Amino acid sequence: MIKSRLFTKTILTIIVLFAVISVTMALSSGWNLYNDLIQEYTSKGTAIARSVAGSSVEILLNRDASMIQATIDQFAEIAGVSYVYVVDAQREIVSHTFVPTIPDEILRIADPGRESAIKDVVIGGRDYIDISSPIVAGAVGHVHVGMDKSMIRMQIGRAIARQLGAILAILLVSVAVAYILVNKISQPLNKLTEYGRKLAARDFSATVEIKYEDEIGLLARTMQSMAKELQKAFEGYEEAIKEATAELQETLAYLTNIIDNMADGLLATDTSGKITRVNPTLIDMLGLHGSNIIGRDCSEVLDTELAGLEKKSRRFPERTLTLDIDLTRGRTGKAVATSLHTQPTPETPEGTSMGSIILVRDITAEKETDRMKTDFISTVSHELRTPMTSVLGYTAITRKKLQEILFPRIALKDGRVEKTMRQVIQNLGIVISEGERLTNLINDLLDISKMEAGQLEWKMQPLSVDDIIDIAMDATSTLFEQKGLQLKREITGTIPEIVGDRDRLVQVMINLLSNAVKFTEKGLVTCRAAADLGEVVISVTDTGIGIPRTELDNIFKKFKQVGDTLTDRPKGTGLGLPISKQIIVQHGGRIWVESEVGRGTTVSFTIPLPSTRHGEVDASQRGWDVGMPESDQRHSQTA
Amino acid sequence: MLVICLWLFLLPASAHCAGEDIVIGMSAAFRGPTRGLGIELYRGAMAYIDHVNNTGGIDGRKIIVQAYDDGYNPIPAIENTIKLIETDNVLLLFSYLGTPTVTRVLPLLRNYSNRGVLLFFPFTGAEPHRQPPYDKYVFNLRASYAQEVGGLVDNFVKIGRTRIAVFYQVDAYGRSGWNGVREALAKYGLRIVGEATYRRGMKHTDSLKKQVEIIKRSEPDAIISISTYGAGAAFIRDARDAGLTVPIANVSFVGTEFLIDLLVQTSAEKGRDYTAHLVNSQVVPSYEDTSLPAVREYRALMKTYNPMPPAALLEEPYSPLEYSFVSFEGFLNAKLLVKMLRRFEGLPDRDHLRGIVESTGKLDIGIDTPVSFGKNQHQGLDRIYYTTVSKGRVVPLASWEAWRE
Repeated sequence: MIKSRLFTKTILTIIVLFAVISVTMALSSGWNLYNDLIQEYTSKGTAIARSVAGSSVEILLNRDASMIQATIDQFAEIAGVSYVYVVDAQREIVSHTFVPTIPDEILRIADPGRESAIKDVVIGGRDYIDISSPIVAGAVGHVHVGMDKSMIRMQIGRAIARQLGAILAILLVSVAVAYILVNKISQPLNKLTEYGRKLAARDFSATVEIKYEDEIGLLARTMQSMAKELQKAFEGYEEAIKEATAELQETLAYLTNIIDNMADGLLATDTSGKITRVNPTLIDMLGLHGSNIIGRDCSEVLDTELAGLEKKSRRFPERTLTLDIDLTRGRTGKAVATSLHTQPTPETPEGTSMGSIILVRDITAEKETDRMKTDFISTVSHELRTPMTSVLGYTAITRKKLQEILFPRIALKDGRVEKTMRQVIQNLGIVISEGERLTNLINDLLDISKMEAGQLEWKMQPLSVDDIIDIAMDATSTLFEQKGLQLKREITGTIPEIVGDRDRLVQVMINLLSNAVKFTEKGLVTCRAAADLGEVVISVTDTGIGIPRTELDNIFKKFKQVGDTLTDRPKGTGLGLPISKQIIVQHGGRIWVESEVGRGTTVSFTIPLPSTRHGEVDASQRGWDVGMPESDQRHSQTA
Repeated sequence: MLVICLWLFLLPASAHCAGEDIVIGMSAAFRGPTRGLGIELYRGAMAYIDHVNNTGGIDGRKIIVQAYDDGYNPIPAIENTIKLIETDNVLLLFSYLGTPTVTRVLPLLRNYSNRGVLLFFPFTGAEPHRQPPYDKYVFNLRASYAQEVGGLVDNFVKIGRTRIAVFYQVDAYGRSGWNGVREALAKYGLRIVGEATYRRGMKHTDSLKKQVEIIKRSEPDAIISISTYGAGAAFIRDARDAGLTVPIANVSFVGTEFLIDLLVQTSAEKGRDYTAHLVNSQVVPSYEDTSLPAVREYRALMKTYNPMPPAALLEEPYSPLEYSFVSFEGFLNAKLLVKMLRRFEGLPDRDHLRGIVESTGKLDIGIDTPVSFGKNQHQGLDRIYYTTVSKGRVVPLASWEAWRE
């Protein structure tokens, strides 16, 4: 017999119900019975008392105690009657049925009057109803009949017991019946539950045997057909999964192959900075052979700088960060860290972060090349500069000497001689200006090579932006006059002091202004400055020829000049913007260009304000490129 | 023969089925705690009747005693009586036993008064059948309880014992005795000092300690017990055990011999004497007094016939008493009845019965006092005798002085 909760619940319900019913019934019928019996006993007693009273007149008058006794003895045998006694006119008990003697309580009962009286008396702890009836209105005597209340209680007790017994019997029968019925339901239900469990455990070969034609049978059949369908579906899924898994495994193998064979080193981390993937190239680059890297935190495995890069990449998911690091065997690498995140969804507008990837490229060769380039430039510039100084110097002297001393002395009125003398001075002038241009070029080359080598000394001091702009505008005022362009200054609000190298920042401003003049035929050049979000933004806008979109990427490259054809004589060195960029980057700012062909160009740069600068200062001194990468310039309309 | 019987049967019911026999009816206790009384009563009567039947009967007719057991209970007594009258068509009712039984039969007699049914010599001293309206239907031989207890009270008071308690059966019998004591004491301005009751049907093995306690509390100097031999013996035993040593008096109905027998047994069992300080009132002389012709006749006939009730009436074996006051009274009942019946000329019938008896006048039945019956005299004897116990035997009480306070 399976113990089922259904059965238990049903049973409990039945029991509670029965308990309530039986208690209520018992109490109510007990109460009713009690009242009825009291009434009945009282009326019985009254009838007896009256009967005895009626038949005792003569006898009492005859003072025949034994006849009275005979009379009351008859009534004393009636069920419920406990005692009968007769009192004569002198208040003496002349007959009674008490054994062993008349109780004291009886002797104390006051004499009733002319009518029947009903009293509750307690004799020896038991309750009685004493009913008295007068004989000839009390003149001859009184009859008292005592009805036993405990009989009532006993009767009630018996009645209630019978009732409860019946209820108990019915209860037991009901329980038995309920048990049978519930079993009829719960047994098949249990079977079905068992079957269901087997199905849930994917045991589709299980069977259930239910023969009923009712709802349970229907359920069973439905479950069985469901099982079949499930089985088919599962088999289908299993096939599909197998195929998908095989595909995935192929893809995974292929990707792994790609990653493992990359010439660059790959390091992938998860959202908490733990390493999830490395390839052999990286291991070799960082000398991590033999150690178990996967799953460990970056800070444990990588050196501080690289670990810091990874952390930063996660913190600034929209930026790509780069860092030059040392590799094994004296190599240099460039680490590029990108944050990974999923596509934006309505719930996650920025996508969910999945960690970062660091690619490490071996730039030893580039670096070497760069260094060699810089060295070469430096050496050559230096070797070039020395003779140039002599050349320029002596040419200037020669011109001066010719102009001031010699040629005035040749005062021949020969036209050809005078023309020739003017030509000579002109030619010397050209030699000097070209020599100056060469010197500038050499200086610039020297500058840039020093900056790139990190050998330049920066003189950082608090500066006023207004000051810088003033100086630059003064320096370039002649250029603007010569071309007839207007130079406007727009400063928004008060610009707080910045910290920077004055000469270099002036250099940047001059560079931008002179570029603006160079490429603008007519219109105006506006110089704007504003403080915003912890940095100062300065921009120079011209109404010039603009820069084509395709060239925008290149303008900060060395030696790149607009046009770049052999027909146009380059006017500058082609190093102005790269040098400006280096200077701005050193100051922790950014520089960028926005342009529209035919309408004009705006070159803007930012200098961080002192409070935000500090962190950046350290970083920039380490040579990090914390800014927009060259490849990631914003394309937007000019203001 | 049958026709004559039928014709006689259809006559007014005063006639009974002829044949030769005179049938008389008796309802008494042949079973139960008081069966000793019924059986002895029957034995005494039958000793004489057997003798009469053996010596020619009454004009050649035999006397048949149709006896039924009522167990000393009223309802069976009533049923027996109806049966005796309706079915057995007895000439008269004879030697009934007990107050509760007889008292309830009295209304029946009234009911059948048109048939002239009379009750003769019931073994009870109660008042109802000695007073109107029922005295008409009953002829008594024995003195009444009132007379018995009256005598006891008088004697107790005379010797200075005025605090009298009553132990009695709580029915008409006990009440009768109790009433008698009450009225007797009232004459002296005295009251019953204490009383205790017991239910009819108690046996001598039952405990009456409660009753003894109640009576003891009232500090009596004499106790009158209106009981039957079983309860009577239990009371005496429990009273003596409780240290109550005052004289205890019983009346004739107790069945003296049975009482004493039980007490002797108990004395033997418990090793003390329970037969001391007992007095019994009797309504017939002692059967030891062989100076009386009736006594001699009784003793002879009891020895000769030693009658027993029919086996069907008895439930258990019964060892009869050789002689007893009860059987002597039964004997005297029978002797007196036969004397009455012999006065009939021809077949005794109910019609003339009353007349015959009431016209008896004084009659000698061989005891120390004559019996007398008359129109207003339905009680034959008035004399009370007293007995006590000595050496385990019933002996006449010589003097009350021994118990003087």
